[in-house]
Amino acid sequence: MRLTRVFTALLLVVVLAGGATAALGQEGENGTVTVVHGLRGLLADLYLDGELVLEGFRAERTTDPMQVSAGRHRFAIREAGEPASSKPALAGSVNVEAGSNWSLVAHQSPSGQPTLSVFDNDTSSVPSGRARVVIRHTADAPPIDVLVNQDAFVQNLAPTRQSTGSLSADSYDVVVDNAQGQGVLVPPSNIQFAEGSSNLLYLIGSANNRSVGWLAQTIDGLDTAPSGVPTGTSGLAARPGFPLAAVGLFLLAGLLSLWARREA
Amino acid sequence: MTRARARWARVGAGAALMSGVVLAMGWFTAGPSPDAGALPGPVAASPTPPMRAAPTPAASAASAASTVRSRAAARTAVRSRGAASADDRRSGIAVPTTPTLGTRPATLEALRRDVGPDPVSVAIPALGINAPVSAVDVTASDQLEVPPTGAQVGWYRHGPAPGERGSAVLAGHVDYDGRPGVFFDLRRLEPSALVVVRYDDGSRRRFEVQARRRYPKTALPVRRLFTQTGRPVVTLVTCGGAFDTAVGSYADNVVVYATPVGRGQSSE
Repeated sequence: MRLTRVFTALLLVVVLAGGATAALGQEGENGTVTVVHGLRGLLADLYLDGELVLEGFRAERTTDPMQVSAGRHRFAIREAGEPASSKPALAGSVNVEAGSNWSLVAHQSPSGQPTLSVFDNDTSSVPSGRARVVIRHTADAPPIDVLVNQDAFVQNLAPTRQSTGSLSADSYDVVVDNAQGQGVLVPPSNIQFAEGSSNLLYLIGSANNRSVGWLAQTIDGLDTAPSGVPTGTSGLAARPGFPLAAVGLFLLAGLLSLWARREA
Repeated sequence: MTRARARWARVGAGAALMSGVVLAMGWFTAGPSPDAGALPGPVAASPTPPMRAAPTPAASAASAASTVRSRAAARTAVRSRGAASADDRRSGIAVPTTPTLGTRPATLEALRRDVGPDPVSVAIPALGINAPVSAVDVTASDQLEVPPTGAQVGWYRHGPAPGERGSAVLAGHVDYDGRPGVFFDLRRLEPSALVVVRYDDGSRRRFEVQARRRYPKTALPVRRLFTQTGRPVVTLVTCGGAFDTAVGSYADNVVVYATPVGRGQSSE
């Protein structure tokens, strides 16, 4: 009888707690999608699941990060002003999981065709003092080498592939070479990588008309604090320990009073 | 005979007890209390910096397509960060919506942070401190780098500068190489004291001490100390508490929080 009551109470607690977590979980059931527009000369309309979400999307810009519910979402790009019923110039879909972060980039494929590529973004925290740098080869160009302050940072990166590294947060000279040793594809650019950010660098354009260049997207707020501040070496400001003399005096007082009791 | 001895013993015991208590009291009340003042507001509670809010493009085109759009909106709940209609959409109410998604430049320049002037010196008149400031990084062991001299103050270059949003960390030694360091007296700095920072563009800015705290190093609130968001606060850090001679290090950190005085930046 009493056991049943206890059991019922326990069950109620479990159910209530479960309900509370489910409600909390709803906030975190979105994912993030950012669309990067790397097709120069195309003024675009952006559709999400058949809905127009952005008109007059200009090249060399990104959308603000979009919060979308978990699940599969269809993206389509049409030339600005084309009817929503027309065949899109570019289309693709992303299976968004809660908390995931995706980039969709409109760019030229290695065969020179406009295409929409999907990249999964790492949003884990970055160690203190550092920046994450992700190189994404989305240009109509041969495999590349990327040099940072004249040191190899990425070697032989094939088109449509990406490479992730980390640098001490600072400004750097970044050069892109043809990996086959056939000269410079992108001349030195001075790029600042802020601490605690993930810097997504897209190589766009075409090597055929020497239009290869960078686009950049950044994800902020991944910073980590240093773990401590060591600011003393000598102990001059140290708080003194509890005075031993006081301990001695207390002991003496105790002994004397014991002795007094015996004598009395 | 024994009576007299007992009396003397009792008197002695009392005297010893009294002096012991006096000594202990002296120890308890010695030096400033570790904490003073109230922490300047919850640092993360202030509004986030304004987003680059793009104007609604082609609002006139919206009315024709609004019925289609609102149905789609109820299904997908898309929202750009900062879009006001997000709650309406989540509640499933069919509200006519226009595209509210903003865009931002994807150029390399967009990665650059708006960099204000860097601090070059810090003065705390109440303690007679006027010290040069140098930019510091983190060490390989993930500790804040502190200038290898007792006289200089280190500013964490990856965080905000004093007066910018977030917590600007200025750290200095309490002692160095057997001599008092620049922040030797920081543990005695009281609320409402003035902190004056000079910058490399010649400007200066005043801050007022709000609180002082002593934290065990093992429980240093580093996220609060190094936050890059929230209201501007200057965070002065040094060491304190007991000293462990075996490892040559203090057990605690003394942290002083100061907030900007007034609004403007005065230059001289």
